[in-house]
Amino acid sequence: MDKRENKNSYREKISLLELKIKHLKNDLLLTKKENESAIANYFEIYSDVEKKVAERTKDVNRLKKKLEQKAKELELMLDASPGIIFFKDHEQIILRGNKKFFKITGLPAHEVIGKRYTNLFPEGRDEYLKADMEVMKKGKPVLNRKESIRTSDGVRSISIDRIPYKDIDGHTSGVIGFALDITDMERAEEEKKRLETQLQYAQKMESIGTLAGGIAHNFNNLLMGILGNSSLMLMDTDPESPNYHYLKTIEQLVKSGSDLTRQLLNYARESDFQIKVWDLNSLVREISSTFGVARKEIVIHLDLEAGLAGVKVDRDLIEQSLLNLYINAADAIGESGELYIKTVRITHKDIKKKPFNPKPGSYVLLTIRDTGSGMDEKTKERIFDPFFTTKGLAKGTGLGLASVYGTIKAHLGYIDVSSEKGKGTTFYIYLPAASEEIAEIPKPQQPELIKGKGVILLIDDEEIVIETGEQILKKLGYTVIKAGNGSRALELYKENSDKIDMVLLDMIMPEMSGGEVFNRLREINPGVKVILSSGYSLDGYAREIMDRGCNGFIQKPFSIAELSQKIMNTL
Amino acid sequence: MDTEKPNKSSLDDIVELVNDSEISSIKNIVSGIIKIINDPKSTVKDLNEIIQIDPPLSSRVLRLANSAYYCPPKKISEIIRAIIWVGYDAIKELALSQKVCKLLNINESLQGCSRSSLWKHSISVAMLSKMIYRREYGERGDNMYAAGLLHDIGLIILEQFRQDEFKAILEKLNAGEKDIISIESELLGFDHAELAKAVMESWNIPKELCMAIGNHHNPLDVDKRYSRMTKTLFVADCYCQEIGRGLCDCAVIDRVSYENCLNTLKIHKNALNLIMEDAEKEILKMEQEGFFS
Repeated sequence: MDKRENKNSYREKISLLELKIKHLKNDLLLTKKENESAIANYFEIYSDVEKKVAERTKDVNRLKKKLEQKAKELELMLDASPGIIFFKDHEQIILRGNKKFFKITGLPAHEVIGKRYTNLFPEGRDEYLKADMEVMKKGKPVLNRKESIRTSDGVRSISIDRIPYKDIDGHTSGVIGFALDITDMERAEEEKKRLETQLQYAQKMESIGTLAGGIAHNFNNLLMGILGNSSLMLMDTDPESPNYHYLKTIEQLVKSGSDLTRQLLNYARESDFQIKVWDLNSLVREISSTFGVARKEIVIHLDLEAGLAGVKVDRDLIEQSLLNLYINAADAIGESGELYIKTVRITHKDIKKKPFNPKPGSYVLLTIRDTGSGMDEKTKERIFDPFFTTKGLAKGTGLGLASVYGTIKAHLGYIDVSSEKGKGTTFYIYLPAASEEIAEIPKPQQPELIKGKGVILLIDDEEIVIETGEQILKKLGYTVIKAGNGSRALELYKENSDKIDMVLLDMIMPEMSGGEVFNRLREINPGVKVILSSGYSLDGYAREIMDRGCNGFIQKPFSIAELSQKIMNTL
Repeated sequence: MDTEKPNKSSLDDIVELVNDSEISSIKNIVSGIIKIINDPKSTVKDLNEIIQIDPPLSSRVLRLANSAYYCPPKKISEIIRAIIWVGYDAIKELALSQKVCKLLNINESLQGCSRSSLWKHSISVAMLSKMIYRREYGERGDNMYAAGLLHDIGLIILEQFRQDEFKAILEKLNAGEKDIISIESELLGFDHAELAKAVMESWNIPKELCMAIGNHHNPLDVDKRYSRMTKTLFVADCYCQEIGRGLCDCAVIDRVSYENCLNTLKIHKNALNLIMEDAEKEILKMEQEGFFS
């Protein structure tokens, strides 16, 4: 019994143990499998991770390359910009700049980046720091400020925009500057303004000139009347009589008056031009000697270039101008002083830094320098203005230099002045050099009174001229037929054509102009002898009529002597 | 009783009710985890996704990972790290257990069957049947574990949606007349196993589990494909009943089928004892961890 029981119990125990073993084995095998698969999973994940890292690295490298490329592109763009670009932080440390910016500093890029802007550009820092502050505080751009900046090429003007640099949170952490160098533009603007001023001045002069011309014409007619009457009276007055003196004075005064009008007309550039090629040096010498005699206390120094080219000028006008300039200098000098006159031949290239641009060619430069009181800037600007004088109303007419200006301009020359208060004044006159030969200096003509015989048809719309003219002509011995206008004149001429020896024709008349009358007269008698008279100078219009066959021209007011000469020459 | 058609419709009604109720709140997680269990390509990430969206589950998982037992070098605050630290399989099980526990807890005590009884019974069946798979067949028992947890879910459903009938069923059961299946069929036209199966099917739970759950009282009726799981479940259920981890104190065990299954499965009687020893240890651990609270 026991043995069987034991056997059974052992059998049971064994089977139990067998079960345990089976269970353990199964569990272990399973756990082993699970671990292995877990490890395999991890390896897979790991290699997956490795792969992913490699991919990421490739991506990162690719992005890095792209970034580098973009950075280069940005750099190219910045450098290609015509503007000056820089970028600084809130402490003025320069973080970046384009090529032009570095060029301004005159330093290589690596020496600029990291330095303070205020150290590199110390000038004007108070101003630009203010602008920087504004940008930083408000986070808004400050645009179009005009500033000066010292560059390696000197001080330049810039127009600068300041843009806030905002970081990713929207805080302004720096300032981006875009600046354009506007120095050249400013200079061009200045030049333009200067030229505009010049133009305005020239236009002003011209309109004054026209005004002046008109006045002169009317004036001349009046003077004609006065002179004529006084001359007539003089002819009948005994030189011993006290009236003689008074009449002579009137004559003188009228002559002065006509000088004035002539100057006005000069200024208006409507003169009786008689252009010949003259030697400027001889003209200068003549005037200098004349003047020297009158004003002995002024020492005149002449430095005249030998063999100077001639100038195509009207001799009287140039002499008049010279005289005006000498008088002006004398007034500036006062009691005693020096006058330096110099002539040289130059070309347009030598004429620099003048308010005018000379036409190309050679010129004769005449310099007149005095040791007088000089002028300040304000006076200098107005010196050529007509009726501008520093001598007081009694003494100065203000026309002297204005007429000089007009004369020189009419001769296609240039005139310039430099002066310093207390140091003296220098006038520079440029006249185009003539290529032709210099003409002889003829003797000055002294008009003499010449009497004559004949019938003269006097045509003028001015009552006073007609009256006076008739008297004068009668005194000279001529018979006068008067006509107050063109149509009447033609009538009279038709009636008396065989009797009339000469016609004295006023150019400017209402209804029918002098020119037209002349034509009509010509129609009637092609050989008609005509002298044109005018209050204006010999201008284009008159010249045209002259070219058509007028025999002579006389400018009002004329003296009896002049008139007599002219008539004699014509008949 | 002409039970086919009315059964079906009545069954469908309940299924519908279930899916409209709070019970279905565990559906996503449960079916999700079971899917992961059956997908060889699934990873920690997938499990992480399922757990993350359930705050009580998430906190439970983290608590476990940081517990003295697992003792991580640094405090774990991410689910995915917890999964890796504790173990992919362990967390799968934990999540399933958590969720089903919650379900089995929302009901008032079943007359004659306390809450913990049902919960304890389910977990015991789950643990035992899983270990049978591992130690007897040498296979993983994750699906078995899930089936074990869910097999008696039908009772909860009946208690909630067919209260009156359920009361009647319990009374009759206590009276000791017949087994529960017969009583249910009489009174309802279907039993709690069929009900559970129907609900599981509506949750897209894999066929094998559904069949096992549906036939856990009549294991001999299943197709060969599903017989092993079903029979194992049946065996575990009966054994637990025997050792006092049963559902109700006076349940009737079908001895004949029991012996039959043991033979078919080639399980020695003592084997179950051995396995249950270790299973108990595991269950004790869970108790200590506060799983049943």
